[in-house]
Amino acid sequence: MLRFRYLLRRLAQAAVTLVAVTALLFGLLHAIPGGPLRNLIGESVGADPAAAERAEALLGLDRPPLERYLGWAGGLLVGDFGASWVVAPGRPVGPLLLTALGNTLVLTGTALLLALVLGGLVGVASALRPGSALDLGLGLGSLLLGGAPTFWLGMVLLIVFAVELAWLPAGGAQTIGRDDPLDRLRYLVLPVVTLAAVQVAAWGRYVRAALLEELGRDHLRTARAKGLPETVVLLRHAAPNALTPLVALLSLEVPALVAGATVTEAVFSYPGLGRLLLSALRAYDWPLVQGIALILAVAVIGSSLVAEVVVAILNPRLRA
Amino acid sequence: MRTMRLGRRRWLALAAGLTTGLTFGCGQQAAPPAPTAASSGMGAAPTSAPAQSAAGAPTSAPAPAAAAQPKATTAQASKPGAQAAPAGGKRAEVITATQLSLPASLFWGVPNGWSNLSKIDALTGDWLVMPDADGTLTPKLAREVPSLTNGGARFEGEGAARRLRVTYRLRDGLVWQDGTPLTSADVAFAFDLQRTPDFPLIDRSLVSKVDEVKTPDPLTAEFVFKPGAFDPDFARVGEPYPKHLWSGIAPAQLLKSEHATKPIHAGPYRLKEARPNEHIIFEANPRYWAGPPRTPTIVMKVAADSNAMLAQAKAGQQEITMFGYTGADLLPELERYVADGRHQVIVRPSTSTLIVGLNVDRPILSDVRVRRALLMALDRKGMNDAILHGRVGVLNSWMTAASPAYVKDLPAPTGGQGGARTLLKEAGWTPGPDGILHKDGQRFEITFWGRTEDRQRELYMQAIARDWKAIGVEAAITLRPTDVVFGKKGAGVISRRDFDAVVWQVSTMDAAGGYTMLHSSQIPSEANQMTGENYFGWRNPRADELLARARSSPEESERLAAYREHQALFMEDLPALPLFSHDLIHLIRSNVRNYRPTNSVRVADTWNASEWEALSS
Repeated sequence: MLRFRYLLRRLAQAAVTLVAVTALLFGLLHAIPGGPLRNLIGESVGADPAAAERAEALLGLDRPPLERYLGWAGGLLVGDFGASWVVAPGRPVGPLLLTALGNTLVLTGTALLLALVLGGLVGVASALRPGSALDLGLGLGSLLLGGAPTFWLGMVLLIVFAVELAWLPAGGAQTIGRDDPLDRLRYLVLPVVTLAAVQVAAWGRYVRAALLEELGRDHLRTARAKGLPETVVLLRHAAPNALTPLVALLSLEVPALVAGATVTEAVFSYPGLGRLLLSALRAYDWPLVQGIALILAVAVIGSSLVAEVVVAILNPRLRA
Repeated sequence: MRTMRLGRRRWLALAAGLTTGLTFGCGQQAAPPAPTAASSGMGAAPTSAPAQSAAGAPTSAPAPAAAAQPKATTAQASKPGAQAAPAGGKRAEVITATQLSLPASLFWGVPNGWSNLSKIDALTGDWLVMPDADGTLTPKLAREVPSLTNGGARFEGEGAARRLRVTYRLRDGLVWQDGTPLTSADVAFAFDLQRTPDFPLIDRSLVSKVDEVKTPDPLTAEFVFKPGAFDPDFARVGEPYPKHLWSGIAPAQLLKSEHATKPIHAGPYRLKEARPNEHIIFEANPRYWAGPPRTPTIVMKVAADSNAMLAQAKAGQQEITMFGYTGADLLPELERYVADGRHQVIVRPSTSTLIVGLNVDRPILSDVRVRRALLMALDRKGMNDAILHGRVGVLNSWMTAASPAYVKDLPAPTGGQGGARTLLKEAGWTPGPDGILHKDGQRFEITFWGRTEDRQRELYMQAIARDWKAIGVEAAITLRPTDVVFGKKGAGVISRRDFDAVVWQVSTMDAAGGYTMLHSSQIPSEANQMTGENYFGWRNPRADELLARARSSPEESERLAAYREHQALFMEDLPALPLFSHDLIHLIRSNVRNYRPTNSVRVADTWNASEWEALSS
């Protein structure tokens, strides 16, 4: 009962935050100097006021801001994000977002999975031999990898593996017209590796620190004293305690992964949410920008909510 | 703290698992097919498979002799799909071509009209006759190209009542892609629609010379010109629109109808899937008059810029890379790249020019001395050397050497930036405290438009803005997506004439011989139903007269003379500042056959897509 009430309260808070975000988003975009129309067609508009009025009416910008906001927010409730202005003129934004979001989730999900597996291995290996050459090597590697800008790493991989060696595609999400999971996998390799590389370094450090702390505890000494093999000690007794805090951390990584994919998607021409956002920004396609920003906001709010709930479940003292 | 050990075997197992996973992901390589016997190298167009005459092939017409003849082939048509498998290997199922942008609307042939044939239009549709790679007219839906020598065109009557009559004879058994028969009634319907003011067409220069269209039988359409009217492009006056699909829709609403996203025409390919800003997939039209196209699927896709296009070509993701003029700065790299024999570069001298279009109706640009100063200030040779490796020609005309009437040595305003400052001072512009020129309290600042997708054009713009800044002119570079800048019929800032200056790649000569872009009747306005592309707003009575003569005289010598004088007037008035003549550049895999790109940005490179094929080794 307590948990249910706690969950309800958090959900209500998230809903209020989301409404505030939509208002802020709409307000900020429309408060940009010049307004949407002038940003779309340039400062020179106004030479023909009649043409400007027609354009405003066409885009629905002749209505008061509050009415426009309520119309947009009301549309969101029924899944209507409005229509694109430039990127796909007249087409509903919703399906465009869905397609791009699907691609981004595949990319970021795979990258996260890879980062967790590799980062976990790096962290465990380092923690098991602290101060060793392996630990130092992995630490240095993590430092270099974690410090490499995503766009640089992506371009290096692209030049080596796509352009020079021609082993992998240089851009896109699949061979157009071909619906084959293996083909999609080939297109995923380079962007996933790029995106995962930085994450591997971070997760390696998280896991190493958590395990090192856990490995010094008394109950592990007891486990060893009972004669348990080291693998069992590590996997059954050390890992669960060490990794629990990382679960909450994982939730908070989700928005970063979605936002961080923007650069990677641009480098590899991957048709995801980030690339769509760049296209929309360059084209001053406000309905599309609003839709994507809203999805990112939902990702932030949703993952924070999940993180709070997970932490609360793991630690009941925090539910108050 | 104690160091723990996992067994070496476990570590090896883990490493092997990860390696296997990654290898599996990378397993299928995208290396391009091995080269075939085709030659490779600069400027070498790929070889064409010999065209084979079709059963029921059109009749032949002798080569035109009269000066007024449009360039036309004898009426030969290939039956691409009927050909045997080619020597050299199996045909690929898909050919992918990449370019910088795709049109927002797929509505067939509109609003461009007859003189601007888009790549997408030429895939889904066919004209009655159509220019080939060299601009020579070839018969498509018509059995032959009408000409004065083959009798397809003839003058009737005498004196002031003398009229031109152009007769098209359609091929037997033509059908639209939905199976409905295509007849002369569709040609007459197109003519009626093109004359309707509400129909959003840019170019009415040709149909406006026609009085009526007669359809004596379902396979014959006769265009009767107005008394005394003539046009060197008379053979292109006719085209069919699908009457059964379009006639129920108000002309003004057609571009908003489903036909803007799902075009149905009579061309070699049907639209299968279109993703805005990404790609369009076309599948072969089994009902195509010449038989099914050789390649079942054509994919037209978009890349972010010319570097991305090249990277994707190197990665083996496309057979054809249509750089157009944007590949000029990449030419040295392309030359190195094709040395391996797997690709060819095609460099086509073209009718295309790069200009800075000016809106001369803007008070700040209405003084011809100002426009001359703006050209004098530009270091065009420096731009060519720095950006384009000296590979393009600096231009002093609106034509290029690809046009027979081109005058090479027309004078351009000289004096450099010092001369430009003097000229601007004469025009009343004096430097303000910020170094920018002022006149009557107005600062000399202009909005300078370009498109986002074009990195090379952006470099030009930076160089131009720098040169102008040096004489006290501030140009605010404004980059937007192609459709926002160049959208037709009021969709873009240029067609709304809501601009000061724009960097623009144009084939003016292919715009009805320059008429639609340079004649004062072609300044879009409510009065002329927003037709024409004279977005500069250039008005010069003598130039109008010369252009009208060049578009109406049956005598070639008279037309050439008119064009020569017209170019000189253009250089005096400078409604646009000519920069360079450009070659058009394409990169194709060596196993691609029959790709023959055109010499104009206004004539589709896909004009013979039904014959394209890529052979595996």
